[in-house]
This record gives sequence, C-alpha cells and structure tokens, in this order.
Amino acid sequence: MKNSIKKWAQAGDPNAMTQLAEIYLTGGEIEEAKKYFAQATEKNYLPAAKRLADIFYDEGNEPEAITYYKKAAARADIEAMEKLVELCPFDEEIMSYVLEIIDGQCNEIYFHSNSLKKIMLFGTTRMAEYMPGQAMAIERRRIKNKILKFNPSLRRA
Amino acid sequence: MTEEKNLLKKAEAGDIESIKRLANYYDKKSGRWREEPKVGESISIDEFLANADTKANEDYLAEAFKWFMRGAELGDAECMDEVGHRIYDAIGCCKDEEWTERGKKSFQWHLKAAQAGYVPAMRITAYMYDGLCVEKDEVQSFYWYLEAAKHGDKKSVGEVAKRYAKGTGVEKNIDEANKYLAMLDAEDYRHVLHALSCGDDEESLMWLERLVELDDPLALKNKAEACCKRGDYSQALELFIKAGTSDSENYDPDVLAEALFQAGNLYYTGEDTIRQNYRHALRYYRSSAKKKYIKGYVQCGKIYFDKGDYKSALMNFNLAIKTRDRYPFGSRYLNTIALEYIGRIAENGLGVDRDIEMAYKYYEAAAKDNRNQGIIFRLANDYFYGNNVEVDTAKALLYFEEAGKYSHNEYYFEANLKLAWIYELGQGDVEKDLAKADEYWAKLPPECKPARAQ
Repeated sequence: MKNSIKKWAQAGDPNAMTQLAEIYLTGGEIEEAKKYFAQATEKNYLPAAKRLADIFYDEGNEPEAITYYKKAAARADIEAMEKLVELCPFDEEIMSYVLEIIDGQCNEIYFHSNSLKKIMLFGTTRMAEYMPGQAMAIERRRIKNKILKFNPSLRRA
Repeated sequence: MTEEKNLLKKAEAGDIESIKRLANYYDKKSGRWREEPKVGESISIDEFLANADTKANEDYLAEAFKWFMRGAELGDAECMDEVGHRIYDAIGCCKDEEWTERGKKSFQWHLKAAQAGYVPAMRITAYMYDGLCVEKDEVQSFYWYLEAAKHGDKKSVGEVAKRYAKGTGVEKNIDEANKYLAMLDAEDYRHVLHALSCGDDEESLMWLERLVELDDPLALKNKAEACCKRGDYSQALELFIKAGTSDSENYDPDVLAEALFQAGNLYYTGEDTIRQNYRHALRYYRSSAKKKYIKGYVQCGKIYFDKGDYKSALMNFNLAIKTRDRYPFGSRYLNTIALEYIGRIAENGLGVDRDIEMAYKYYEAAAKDNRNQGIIFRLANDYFYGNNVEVDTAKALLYFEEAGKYSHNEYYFEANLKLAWIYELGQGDVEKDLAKADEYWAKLPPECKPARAQ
C-alpha cells in the first residue's frame, strides 16, 4: 500500500502526499512527513497546511506554525484560527486577516424577530434542531470577540 | 325514500329550508368527508387516514351544488357562501377551470353573501380583498372586517385592531386600535400583538413593549434578540434570562429553553461588556438542557469536552441524541455534532475504553447528515486508505462524491481534486478513466490539472 501511495504522491496527487506524510509521521520520520505535507500545501491542499502547522506547533517552532496556520485559516478552519489567536493575539496584521475571514462567513446566531411565525410554520422542532452551521457560527463569534478583546483598535463601526 | 321525495317536492316549490336540507342530504350521500376539523381542532391520525382516500360520488356532489345554487339564486345568504366555497375548491362544479378563474367567481358569491348580511362571508370577503384572486383593495378589506367585527366576529376584531394600528385601508388611529384590542381575550390579544411586533422598526418595538409588560416569554426573547442586533448585550442577557425562567405555560418549553441557550451563548462568545465566562455559560446551557433541549445538551457536552471532563461530556452528548425521540415527526437527523464527539471520545479512548469499531459506527451515523462535511471527507479518506477501517473503495468514492457535490461544500475543492486524481491515475480498485477525470478537472482551477503524455 505504502509503495502505491508513494507512486500516486510522486505523480502529483496532494491527497496521497498528505496520506504518505501521515504514514511517515506515525513511523516517527518527522522530517519526511514535513516534506510531503509541505509539498501538498504548495499545491494549495490546505488540510495538509494545518497538519504541518500542528507539527511545528508541537515542536515549539512558532513562526513556522503561524505561517501554516495562516494558510489553513483561509478556509475558515476554526481550530487553525483559534491557534493563531493563541500564538499571536496582539499581532494586528494577522488578527485583522483572521477577522476578515470570519466576517466573510455568516455569523448570525439569533433567530431575529418574528419567531412566532417561524414556530407556527415549522413547529418548534426547527428551533430545537442544532445545525452544524449554527454551532460553527457560535465558535466563530467566540474567536472574533477574543480577537477584539486583545485588539480593541480592530473594532469596526 | 319517501322523505327524499317529500323534500324534493318542497324544494322544487322554492322552500329555502328544504333546499338547504336537500343539498346537505346529497352532500352527505356523496360520501365526501363532511366533518372537516375546524381551525384549532385536532383529529387523530387514524381518523385522518381513514378519510384520506375517500372518493366522493361526483354525481351527488353535482346534485348538492345544484341545490345550493338554487338556494343562492333565491337569495339565501348561507347558500351563496356555500356556493362560493364549493366553486373555490371545485366541489361538484367547475372541474376544468383554473384556480384563479374559480377564485374570481367564488369571490363574487362571497361578496353577495356578505352584502346580504352573512357574517362568516364578510370575513372571507375581507380576506380575499387582501389580494387573494382579486385585485388588492385595502379599503374594501378593512370595510368588511369592520362590518364582521360589528356583528361580533372575534377574528375580525383582531384584524380591525391590526389595521387601525398599522394604518392599512384606514387612517392610523392608535386609540381605535386600543378599543378593539380591549375586546379580545388574552390569547387573541397576544396573537395580535405578536403579529404587530414582528418588524424591526420603532413601531413594532412599541407593540412588543406591551407584551413585555405582560412578561410574555416569547416577547421577552424577541426583545432580547432586537437588543443583540442593536449591540445592547447586557440588557439582552437580562431579558433572555427573564424569558427563560418564566413560568408561563402559553408556549412550548422549547421557547424558554432557546432563551436560556441564547443567554449561555452570550457568556460563551463574550459579547461587548459581557466577559467570556465558560462557567456562567455552562450554567445557562445546563438549565436549557434541563428542559430537554438538544442545543443545550450539545453545548454542555462541548464545554465539558474542552475542559477534559469526558465522562460528563459523553453523558450530555448521549442525552442530545436521545432527546430527538420527543419529536416523532421532527428532525430528520440525529444530532450530528453529538455523534461526532461520541465517536471522537471512543476513538481516542478519552475516559472510556478505546473502541475503534464503535467510533466508526458513530462517525458513519454523523455522516448521514450531509451538513457535516468535515466528517464525510474524513470518512472518505479513511475508507480509501484503510485508516482504522478496512479499505472500501466504493464507499470512499461515495463519500468523496458527497463532499464534492455542491460548490459551497466545505471540502468541495479537496474532494473533487481527489476524485480527479483517482480517475487520472487509476488508484486502488478504480480503473484509469481519463474522460471521467476530465469531468472532475473541469470543476477545478486549471492549474491543478497535470500535463498528460501524448
């Protein structure tokens, strides 16, 4: 299996590169793992960027971790954004970059007015159903407020 | 039989009472379901199913319609109204006509009945003047609601109050609106005020304030949400808590639970002057969960999970899944977030024994909800490479396709890229298929596609 994955990775499949890196990582060959994660990241395969950042984070290499978490955050990855806030809460440039990503998503968690009409239309089940989207919005709001607490100057009107 | 003949004789002579009785007699005989539940009245499922397939006898229905029409032509208001209803629903007449055509005809009969002083017809006339099948005429609509209200029609009283309050079809007059509002009983009063307060403007808020004075929990919750929008979070928090701890029995407990959940959210996300405080958040999430509210359970579980109290987390997630039983026809999905977390706890052996097989059972259940794209993409990879599970390429392909189905999917790019590569190279059990690969490359940016040897 490992050989065929290697073949696919060499042909250029970033998903196979990521898998290969995972195998090296489990085997303790961290440098090889990093190499393949980095290759996949170069091909714009962002899940690999997050794994690479995780390795640097565990090694204590903060600047590299930040670089790759930044890449991973581009797809609004909650964990990557949270790590960025943890690593460099006062770096205004990076924080405003994260805020921009968050603001690009739908972060509305309130039902707005007229809940009665909604209840009459859908029954209360609709209200009780916990949609993954709403859960994510709550997390994004939490991160956003954390950033604003550290950097009040980033608060926009 | 003799009775029918007698009735027929009298009806033919033009006796209104007999005409009505005869029409009703034919209507019953047609087998049409007569005992339709009135608004607010419920029927059992068995009763509904027993009647659902009833096919009425069209001949009798046509006969019934004929006699109602005769009554209407003789000037009986009740018959006119009935004719209006039957034309609208195409019962025993006008089978081939379009709904809009029937609506126009039906309106004429309702109007006639209303002019003859039949109260239910007045309300329907007013309703249709609001733009159902006839051109919208707010003034006429108001006029007929007012007429019906004068004759003591309760629903129309509420409508008149609404129209005075908003100034539709009549000059705005809050005093008049109050006069009509005072005629309503408590429940209708609440309904009218909720209808008036459903906007975001100043006036809606004024009406909302009246419900807030009554400590109506739904109104308190709505006001809190309006406060959140304005950015006044500390007042919102107060109102959410007040709504959530209300003992009013007018609403489903879910309304109160949602208010408590939102109070928890304010502490969890930490808005403005409210400091982020997981302990307070947990307190409100927990009281929301006590009302058997799924969102409350899930958020409690998440906080416990982050704290490392996996036992409590597991308990809350399990309860979140079981709670769905409260809604027999409700949610299509088990709660996917709770399922995913239970899977994670089992996979990593957090506070429980490690059990990979069970973990993947939960993951698969979570992946049934296609709104949880993360778990779908993960399972696709695991089945493709055989991480923790046996390789199952067919299953992996299905999951990859699910993840790459819509462009707004979280893993749209990654999933389609993988599918393209699978067919480009022929990976695992899948044969190389360049034409199919091209289909997937077309969904991706052009630089992703590798050069092919000629």
